[in-house]
Amino acid sequence: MEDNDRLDPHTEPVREDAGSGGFSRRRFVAGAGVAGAALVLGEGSAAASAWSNKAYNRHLGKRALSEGMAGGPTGFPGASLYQYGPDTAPGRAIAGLRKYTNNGKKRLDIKMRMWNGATGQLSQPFPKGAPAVTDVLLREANVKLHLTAIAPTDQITKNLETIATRDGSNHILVSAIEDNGDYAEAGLARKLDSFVAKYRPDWDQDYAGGHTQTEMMNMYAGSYYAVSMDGDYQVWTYRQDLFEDPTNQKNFMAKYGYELAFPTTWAHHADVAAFFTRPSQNLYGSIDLKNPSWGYSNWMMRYVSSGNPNQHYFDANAKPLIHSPAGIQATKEHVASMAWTYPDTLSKSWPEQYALMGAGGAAMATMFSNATKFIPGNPALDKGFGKYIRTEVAPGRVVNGKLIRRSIIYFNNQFVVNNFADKSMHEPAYLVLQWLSSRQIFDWLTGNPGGYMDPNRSSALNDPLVRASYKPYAADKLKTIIPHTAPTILAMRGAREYTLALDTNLQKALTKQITPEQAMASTAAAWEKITDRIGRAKQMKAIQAGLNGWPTV
Amino acid sequence: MGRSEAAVGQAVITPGQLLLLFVIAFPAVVAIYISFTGWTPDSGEPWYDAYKFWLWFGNYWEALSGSPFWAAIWRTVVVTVLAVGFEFLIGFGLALLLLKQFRGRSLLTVVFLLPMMVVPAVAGFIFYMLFQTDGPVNAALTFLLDDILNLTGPIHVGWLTNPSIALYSVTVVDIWQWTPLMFLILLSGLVALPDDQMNAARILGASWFHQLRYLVLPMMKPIILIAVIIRAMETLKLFDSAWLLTQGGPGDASSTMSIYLYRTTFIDARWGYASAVAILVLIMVSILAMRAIRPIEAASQETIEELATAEPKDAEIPIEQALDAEALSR
Repeated sequence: MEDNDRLDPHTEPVREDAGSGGFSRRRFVAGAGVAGAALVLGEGSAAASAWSNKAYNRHLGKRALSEGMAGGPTGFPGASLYQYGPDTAPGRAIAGLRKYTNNGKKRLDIKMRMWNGATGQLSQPFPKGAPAVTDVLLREANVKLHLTAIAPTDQITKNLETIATRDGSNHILVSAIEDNGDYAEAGLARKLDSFVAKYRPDWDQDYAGGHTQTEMMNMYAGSYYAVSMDGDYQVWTYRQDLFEDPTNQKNFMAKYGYELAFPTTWAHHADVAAFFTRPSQNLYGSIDLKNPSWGYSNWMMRYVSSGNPNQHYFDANAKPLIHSPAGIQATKEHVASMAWTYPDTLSKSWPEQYALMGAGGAAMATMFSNATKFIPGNPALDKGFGKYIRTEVAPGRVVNGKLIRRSIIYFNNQFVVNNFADKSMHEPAYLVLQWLSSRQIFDWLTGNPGGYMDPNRSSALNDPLVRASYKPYAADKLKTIIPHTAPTILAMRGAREYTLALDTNLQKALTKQITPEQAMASTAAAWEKITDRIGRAKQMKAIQAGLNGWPTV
Repeated sequence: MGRSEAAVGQAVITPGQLLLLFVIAFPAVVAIYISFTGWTPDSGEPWYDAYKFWLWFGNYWEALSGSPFWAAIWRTVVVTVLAVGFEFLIGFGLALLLLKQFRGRSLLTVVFLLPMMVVPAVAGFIFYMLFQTDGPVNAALTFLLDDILNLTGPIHVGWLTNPSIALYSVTVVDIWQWTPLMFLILLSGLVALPDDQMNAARILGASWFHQLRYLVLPMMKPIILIAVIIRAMETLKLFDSAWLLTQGGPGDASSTMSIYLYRTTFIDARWGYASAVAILVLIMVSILAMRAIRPIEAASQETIEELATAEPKDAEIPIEQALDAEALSR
């Protein structure tokens, strides 16, 4: 069978579950070692690179892909987990792309701008013996993906330049979850509804959290504009050894009258954080970020957990709610939390935070979900405490008799199709994104330690590569954390402007330049100005549509 | 030159002139146009359709009537006055020290110039590390004031996180980095001073201070003014190191005009408002520059007059005429 034929969606239908092939997930988990050794010996990437493309494709077609699979990576133990049939999201994407490459005969070049810390997951082969993600795309569809790396801090600048100059040189652009609304309204992000209907991605079926996550990450005002390739959920990390230490348990009980455990409420968190704050021992209770552009996320977790099921930022008329008692209380707690963190927390960011957590300098911290991927076993960060790091859902509040705990998601590698690129390239650019974000390919690449695109799918959290990379206990906990995740101020135009106003006032409150009440009043006033300038009706519509992205757990 | 030759000459230089005009004028015209509108890139309209969001002087009024703009101006003025003042004092002092020949002078000169060669972003990073609460600056102060002199306890100054101090920390970095430029310009000026007048003063018994007060400073006046103006212009645009150190924070405590503009442009994406602010700043700086240039012109005039009065009284041609190139050619 020719490789091309195998990608025809009209060929024999195959179940999407890779387990239907000869190398199932269960069998992989049970006997990865034995089978893996055989596969690695048989198909090293070094050997593959020495072959001609044609010979390699023939080899793959005949030997490497599991039975009934149309494409996917090969050459490493368990590769079949990431292979797919023709009538799957990645299979449909490849079939669509091949229409643009004359069934693989003509090469198509697609330019993709992305954050420099993520490129490795597409360009570096992983695991041993595997091809790189970009190599598989080239091999299967003859689509060459050219990656342009930029710093995350340059994302907005570059995209605003692209908008201002109508620059279409990059077909795919990196975005962030906060920017969906702005880029959609600016005409930068191409509306993807027609492509989604035509090629049926698997986001809804497989995102941990289902369609709510799709709404939160990929949609604005009821339409698709972005493709999420990340899971920047804020998880609470803690040092298990400290919590399980009998002396700590005894002393905590003696001081507070209840058992020491990871806190489930903010009041409880305050006790635990204060208990573990021992600067003379270089130990801090809770080193949540407080610096500009990052620290506000911690305030948000306190704020959104004040309502049942959520405390929203705006009411239905786009009037701010943050100067309510809930906002003031969250701000007071945010200010009080300065007592439990390390010096210079206002200028230190996540690199210092990760380092201190790895050095055992903190009992708790709110971090990205990749904390357990990057710290344990990393000689640069792990000073012997990485193995004790565990994760949890953020603390919360009892509202109307129910405990509400909310994480939030922010930043997040998002990709949009550049509306200013040649129109004929919009569909193939989308298809590349559908392929990359599909369950099979995205699970495979999130396991790759070469970057910080984190899992957002249920399948990834059960995937052996991802679990090995993120640690099984953290992957399991993430299944609980994701459904508790609320958005930052997003899915509306001006999200960053609203956020900057909040961030600036929170910073002033943290440094006692103003009171929490003044901070919230000032933010609310700034938000009203922004809303009036952008247009209240537009914002009301976006807020209404964005409600679908909020958690109800 | 015949008329046809002049026409050819004009034809040859016209494209260049137009190109130059385009390069200079086009961005300015676009900025002025956008400043009268509420256009932003995320409005979905191209910039040339910004007229659809016409506001007349709305952005200018918002800036001039709002406290964030004036607060940013004030912080910028504080940084500029302090930074340029200290850069001048230290730079001039160093230049005077290195005016005389001594062993190791060349090496010292190179050492003093080193900070200027550091990329501003790197300078920002270096000082970010130095200014940490548990960093070397506080450690050194603790060693001196606590360990040796027993005057204080351990020093825990939040150089970057205390809103009352952060702006001055940013200023210190500018002083460290750009004093060498001031030093270089002033040293060049001092070296070029005429030896005969200095020697004459010395022979006549003028003290070092009198030489400085009545000879060096008056003769250096144009050079000093140029150095101060160059540095003031640059400090008004201070961004790289300040952004790296504090990002304008905590809150907006160290948000200078450049940082305010950056935030407005690239976070708020309010390009119409940002253009208006930029133009207001341009106007203010231009007025300042014009006022600053006047003393230079006056200083130049004084020098010419001094030269004129120094000429013999029985000279056949007045000195003004002698200095006039046309008169000389006649």
